[in-house]
Amino acid sequence: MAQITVTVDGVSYVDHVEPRTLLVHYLREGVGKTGTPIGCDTSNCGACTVLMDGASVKSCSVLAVQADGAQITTIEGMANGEWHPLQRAFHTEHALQCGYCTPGMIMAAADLLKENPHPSDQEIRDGLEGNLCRCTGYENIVRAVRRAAEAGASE
Amino acid sequence: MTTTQTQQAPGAELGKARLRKEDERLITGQTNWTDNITLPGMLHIAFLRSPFAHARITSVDVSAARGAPGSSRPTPARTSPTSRAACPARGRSRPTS
Repeated sequence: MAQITVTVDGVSYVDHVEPRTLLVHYLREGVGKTGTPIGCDTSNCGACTVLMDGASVKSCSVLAVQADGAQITTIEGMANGEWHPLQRAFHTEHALQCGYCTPGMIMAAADLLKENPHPSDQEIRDGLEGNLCRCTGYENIVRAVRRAAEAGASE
Repeated sequence: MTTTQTQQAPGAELGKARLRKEDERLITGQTNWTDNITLPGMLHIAFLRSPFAHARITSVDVSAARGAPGSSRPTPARTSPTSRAACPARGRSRPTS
């Protein structure tokens, strides 16, 4: 077992984890942050995307021990008293059906808008290419990210 | 055939986009997906499939699994009453007549 200190959504946790524990399993089972779903377990789908020190990572392809000392933001930490502009935009633009990919889409989009506050539609598509939506809601997801960018989501 | 067109009353719902009511839990990570549910005494199930694509099963030895830590009830498919129909042994999936 290895000891790790991780800040998740603003709260610091000190835990012992097996070295093989994936970050997503630690978040869900260790911290109880089940807002981050596991879609594929193989880093294909991006549903488990979280921010690690501000950069988006697929938490199924990061070991919990690699997150030692890091600040993790999950979908549960995005609303700060009120919805994040991306959350508002996803709602307004109907950018979700079943909602399973939505946490990953929002977290990946947050990283995208931090790097590129005003992306073109093509840049949005490129930025979210690692996230799959099997309801095929891509058109509205792109619209939502564009709307969030216009609302200043990167600030 | 006669068609009748009814004038919509102002403020009627028809023809208007409606915002979804279920979005809040979905976009804030509060949905209780099946995988999030934990119940007292809950067990997890795993299926061990044959490593051979085309072979005859002559016997299944679950003794090693039975002794493994955390293992509860290793059960060969043929002795499991619920899985018998779905996992036919000896090619019983084909009609015999």
